[in-house]
Amino acid sequence: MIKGVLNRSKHNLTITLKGDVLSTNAEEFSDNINRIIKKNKPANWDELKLDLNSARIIDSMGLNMILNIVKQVQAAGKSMKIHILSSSIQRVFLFSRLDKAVDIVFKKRRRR
Amino acid sequence: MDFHVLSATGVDEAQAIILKKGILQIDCVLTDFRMPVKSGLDLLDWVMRKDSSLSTIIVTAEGEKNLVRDSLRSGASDYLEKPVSRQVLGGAISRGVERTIRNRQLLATDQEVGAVGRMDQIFQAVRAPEILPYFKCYYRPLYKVGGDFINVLPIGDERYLFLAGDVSGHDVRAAFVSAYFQGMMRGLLEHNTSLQDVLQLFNRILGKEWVPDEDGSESSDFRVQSSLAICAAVVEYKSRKVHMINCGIPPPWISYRDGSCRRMTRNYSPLGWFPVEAFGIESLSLDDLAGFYICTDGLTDYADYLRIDPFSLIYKLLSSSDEVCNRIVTQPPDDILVMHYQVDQDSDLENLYQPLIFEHYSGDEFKDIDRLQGIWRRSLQFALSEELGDKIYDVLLCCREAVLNALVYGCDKSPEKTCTIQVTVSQKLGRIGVRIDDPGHGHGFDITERVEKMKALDGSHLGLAIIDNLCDKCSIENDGTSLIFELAMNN
Repeated sequence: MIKGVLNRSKHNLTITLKGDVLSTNAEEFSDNINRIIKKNKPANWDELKLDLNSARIIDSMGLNMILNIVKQVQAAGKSMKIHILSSSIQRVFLFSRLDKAVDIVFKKRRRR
Repeated sequence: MDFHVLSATGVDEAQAIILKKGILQIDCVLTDFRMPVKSGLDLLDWVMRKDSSLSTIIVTAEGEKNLVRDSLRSGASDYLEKPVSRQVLGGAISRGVERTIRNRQLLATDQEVGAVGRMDQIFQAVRAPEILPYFKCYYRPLYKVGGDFINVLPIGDERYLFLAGDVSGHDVRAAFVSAYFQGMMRGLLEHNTSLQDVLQLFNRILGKEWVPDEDGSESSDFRVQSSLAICAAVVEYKSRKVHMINCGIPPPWISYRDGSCRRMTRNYSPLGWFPVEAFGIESLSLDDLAGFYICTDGLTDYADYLRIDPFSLIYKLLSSSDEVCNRIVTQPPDDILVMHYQVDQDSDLENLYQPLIFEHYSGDEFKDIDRLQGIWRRSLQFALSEELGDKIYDVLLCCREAVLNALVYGCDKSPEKTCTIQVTVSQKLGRIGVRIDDPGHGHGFDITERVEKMKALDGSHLGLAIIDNLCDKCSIENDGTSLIFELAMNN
């Protein structure tokens, strides 16, 4: 469901979430992300990469959870990138102006 | 043994004798396996091709197990190992003759059932060709006879009867009940008997007349032997009205010009279940309606099996070729019948929205929102295939936010309160419409104004802001208890 990989040479921490980020799992995701951040001390990385490539939908509670993570990372003086493939999620991020706070890396999902 | 026996010394001679006598005059064939030129298996194959109901007994030498196996596989009804006693031979032939007679009776019955089934189909033709531009139907019977039925009949003075029915059982008896009712209904309505009176009469026939007391008189009790679920609609073009009665069919859906729906509210049990003091009729103005949908429970059951909304199945079945429909309906557990009457012709209908999802949820279902979203996703993908593309996730997200809001705030998470979601499509306009209604107190604010005034993104009404931003149109009605939004289908 969620995994964190610390790249010491590039000074970044990548957290990958599997699936949509929704009201029913946002809290669990949040707890796990915080656990990974706590485990990989901020002193060891400068950038957090949040990999949401497998998500197709992020609802309002999921968005709130991500906003809280963004605020935490900013408060620690670190930068953050969010990777997405869903155009629906991109639209939500753009209207919510999340792209002003973090770097959104969007690659359009290929139709199978 | 008292049999009339015809004998031959080889396969060719046996075939000639059988053909000369007439194969239907032969009740059993007894053949040795080992014969000059051709074997007993050759004769067996020939008999099976000519008349598979005719019993054949193969006589083999002792220990020819493979031969016995091959014989039975080829259709032999029995085998005997030499040496054979007179008593054993007589017993085997007697059983063979009985089997042939039984097989032939079954075959004759099956052919009669097929003929009744063809009559069934004749009853079900649309007898009003002028109605065809306003009428769509899909019917997939499970058996040859006794299935669901649909009639569209002119009953005089610009009046048309739409009659859908489902008799208990799938047999010749059910076909008889169905045919009796359809004929009676047609005749009486043509002679201006009211719908209510026809149903009252047939309810009494089923519950009393066809279950007589021991002395042969009409039953003093109302007992169930056969039952008939029907929905009848009489469309009157002169008065611009439709009159509907439903007895036991899933409540029909009434659709309006904006694609919104409701189900018929007054519904009765199937005819033959209970005495009914007076059948009430639901009369609607054609000017308000887009049309109505009637389906039997086979359709709703199949939608449940596919885990989609029944309207998505209806939409697909009524808008696809027979070939596509046959691919969709592979193993129906029951007859599947659905009909749609539309007030306007097809060309005008393209401007209207067609329902895809119409569901009610109780307040405590907020915990199951992922499951509900799964139903919407499967339904939209089923009905629209690839047409929605990635836009489906915008639709799902907006529906999720709106339904969660309706369940949590409008219904107070209470199992006693329900909200409704309706998703519609207009192919011509290339748009998806969504309407969500809840029984709450609502609120008076303007969505766009409220969203613009939102200071913080993580404040309240974030769900509403998402809907307002992803949709092309979003509005609130009924003091905030109804949320209506539209999205373009293409990206």
